[in-house]
Amino acid sequence: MNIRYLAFLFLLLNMTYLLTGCWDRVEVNNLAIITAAALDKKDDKTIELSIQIFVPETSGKEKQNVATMGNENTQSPTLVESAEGVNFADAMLKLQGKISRKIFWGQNEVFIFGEQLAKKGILNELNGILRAVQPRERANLFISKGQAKEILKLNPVIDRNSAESIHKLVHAHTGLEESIIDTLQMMNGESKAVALPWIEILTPQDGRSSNVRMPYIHGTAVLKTDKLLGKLNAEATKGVLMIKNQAASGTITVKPKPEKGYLSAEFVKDKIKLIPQITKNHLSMKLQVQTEAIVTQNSTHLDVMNSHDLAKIEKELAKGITLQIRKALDQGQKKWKADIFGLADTFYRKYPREWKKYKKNWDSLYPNLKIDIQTKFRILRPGMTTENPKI
Amino acid sequence: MMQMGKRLFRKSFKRKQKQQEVAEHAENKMEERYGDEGISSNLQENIDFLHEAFGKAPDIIIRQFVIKHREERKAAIVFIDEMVDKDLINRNILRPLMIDSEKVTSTDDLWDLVTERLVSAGETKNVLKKTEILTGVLAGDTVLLIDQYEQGYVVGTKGWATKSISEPRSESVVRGSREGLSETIVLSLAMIRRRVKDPDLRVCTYELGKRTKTCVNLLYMDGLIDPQIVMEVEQRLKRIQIDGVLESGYVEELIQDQTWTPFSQLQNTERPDTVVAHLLEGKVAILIDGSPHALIAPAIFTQFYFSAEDYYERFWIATFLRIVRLISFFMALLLPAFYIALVSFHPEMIPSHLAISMAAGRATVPFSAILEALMMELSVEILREASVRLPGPIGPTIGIVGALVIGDAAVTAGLVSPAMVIVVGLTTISSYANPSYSAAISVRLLRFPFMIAASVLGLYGIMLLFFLLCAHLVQLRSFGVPYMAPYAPFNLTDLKDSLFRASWKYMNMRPVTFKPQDRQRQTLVHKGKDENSHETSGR
Repeated sequence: MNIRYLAFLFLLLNMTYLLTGCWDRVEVNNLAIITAAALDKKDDKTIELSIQIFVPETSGKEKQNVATMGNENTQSPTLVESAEGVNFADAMLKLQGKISRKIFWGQNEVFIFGEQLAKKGILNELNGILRAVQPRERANLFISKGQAKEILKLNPVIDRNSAESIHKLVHAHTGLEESIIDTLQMMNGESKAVALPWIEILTPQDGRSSNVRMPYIHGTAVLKTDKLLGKLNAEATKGVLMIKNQAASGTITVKPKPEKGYLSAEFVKDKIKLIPQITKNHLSMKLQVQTEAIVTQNSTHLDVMNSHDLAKIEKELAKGITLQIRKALDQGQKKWKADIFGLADTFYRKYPREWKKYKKNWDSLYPNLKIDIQTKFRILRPGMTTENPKI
Repeated sequence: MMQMGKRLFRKSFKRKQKQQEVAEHAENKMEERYGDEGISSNLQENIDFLHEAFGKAPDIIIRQFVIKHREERKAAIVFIDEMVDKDLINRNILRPLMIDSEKVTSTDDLWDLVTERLVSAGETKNVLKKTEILTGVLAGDTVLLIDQYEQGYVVGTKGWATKSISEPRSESVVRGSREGLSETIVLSLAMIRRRVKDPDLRVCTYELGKRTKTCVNLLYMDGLIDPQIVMEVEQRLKRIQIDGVLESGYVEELIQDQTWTPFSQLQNTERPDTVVAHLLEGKVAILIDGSPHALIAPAIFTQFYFSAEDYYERFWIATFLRIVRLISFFMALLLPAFYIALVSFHPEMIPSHLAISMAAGRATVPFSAILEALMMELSVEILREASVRLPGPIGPTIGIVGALVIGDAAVTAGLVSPAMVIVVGLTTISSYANPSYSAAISVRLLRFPFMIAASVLGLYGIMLLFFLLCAHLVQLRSFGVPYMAPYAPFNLTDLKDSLFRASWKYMNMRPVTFKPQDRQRQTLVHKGKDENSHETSGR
């Protein structure tokens, strides 16, 4: 009995690796690791897929330098290659034909769509990206000014490659952070609109050669359904970040009315609550903002340590915040008429039954939706000094 | 297949029977040769017998002399050179018999006079058989034979050069006793006795090895230990029929529960304090003459990862060190396998920056990850083995040449990736963090199957093998005690001395795993409050 059992177990164990197998074993050094990918419109029917590949040989290796893994200050450790195709999958196949190593998407966290392609619509290509096994659906999505390929070609001196620069910028929260999966959820949701970070190219000011230009996130692209409508400026982006609860930090500067100087505060915590309301066939929205901040500069005569003055300061700052949010809302509601804040989804979530009635007219309801902003501002700390010297 | 199995079993059973017969044959060898023969009344005849029996060995000393008492009587003492205390022979046997005997006035029989009044030694025995002379002499005693008497007198004169008590080299601690057990069993026993002044400490003596006749002591605390364990160990010891026992390892392999496992089921230790600690937990200790390693049975998996120091340092430190050891256990077992799995199957699981660095490091490596890892592990094993054999003073030098120079050159030449060197180095160091050498070896062995599993199936393979390993560990038993206790079967109270060691204040009970008859370790049951500090503040 024992031998029979063991033989059976042996066969069973053999099956586990014969049936699964190590055929898909690929060593790291035989992969073309993609750090960023860009999609552009080539002509009316074809697109161009560009990828930035990490080139291991030239990165930090002057033969003896292999031991010091990841030497940061070396030149051009990446290679940009592109291929045309009718869609993403087609272009990917053609791209693989051009590159000796197996293209590996598993590490790619940056997808950039060119302005032209975004105007045409990005959903078709997103479908291809999401359907493929390797690309991560948690990769971040961006829209670039002009050709997206140009962003990949950049060679920022302070980072290893432009993909890394972009990635670090995302984590600094100066712009929105939207992954592929988030974007698709927004598109499939009730809002049918999405806001994506907008990338531009920054030219250094010290007169260095143009090939050390860096990418940077500057503003927000507004997409309705999946088509690019336009762009919000950096100022409006701040408001969008707050509404989407993505503002990790930020500074607000106000000019209290009778005073001459300015007062700045950096918020350490801000929370926004979107409360949709349907009363008597009337849709309205309440935004509850709660902000805690530290005073960073105060050139007014108001004393932060004085509770009377403090109340005044907090009121002024709350007003500033309200204004900032209002600006962003106006841009979305009035200018582009695109629900990039996902307000429709909040209605659907709170009033799933009633929503069916309003769903069809949302496009006409949205621009005129009454949005009430209630801001509570609290100064946590006055900063390192408390009193201004009296001159 | 069943049929075949049965046949195989029958065959092995027959073989066993045959073996048993052979064993019995060997046992009777000495008696068969010399028979049940009594000692002859003729001294010369006895001396001739001894010469024949020992084959005229140069170290067998037969000193013939004359006892002068009323009349002259021929006599002889037999002993083995350098196994006896010569001073004792001269002072207490030869001198009284040759010189003092003349002055004694007594009407007693000569034999009675010699044994009762002349030979002044503590440990003596009358023997009648010739074979008894042989065993006495071989054990380091001196045998006195007197003409016309059909008996011999065995005088305990054991006294050979022994190494002085040294530090336990494989289990050194920062805090704790520096004494290590001795190769001489009586010395080891004395060290243990000195630590437990309790008449309940039982010592049973066995003679193992048909030819080596090695003295083996079984130690346990009567009234504390589970008698079932003692019975089981006794039975297994009695079953040993080997010709020679030279080290505790012989006994360990012969009495362990399961042979086909990389895990040792008996612990060995060089430390007398560790032996006592285990005795007090309700385990047995086996001392083997000629070996400074005592065996502890039953042994559970966790105790191989405990150092004696864990119990001497404050429990915070002990707990921290145990966690460190747990981490190092997993590193030694799985780190190379993880590296292989990540590099060859799951590059998406490596953080981006690391993946890029690793790809850069591996760019020039001509081998696959598994081959690279196997090569490196093998060379480290060679280095490790060589460093054991190397003569003392050049050991470290060769180590540096081997590890640093070759390792560095291999990386610079692009034969090995730098990450691999780190992995191998960490693995090697981790395996040495284990306090027990024998347990560390099993981890060293198991590393290779894990690496192969990782190269075939990736992380899935590692998990698969890990489950198999767990299943194997859980079914292991050491003298009836589950190997993975107190985790499986789970026992809450025993967890006080597991990965976390509770303060001695709270360990009032002995571990229930070993089923001690007397569970109470200390009578004072502390309850939460710190009584000691309370007392002093009251004063």
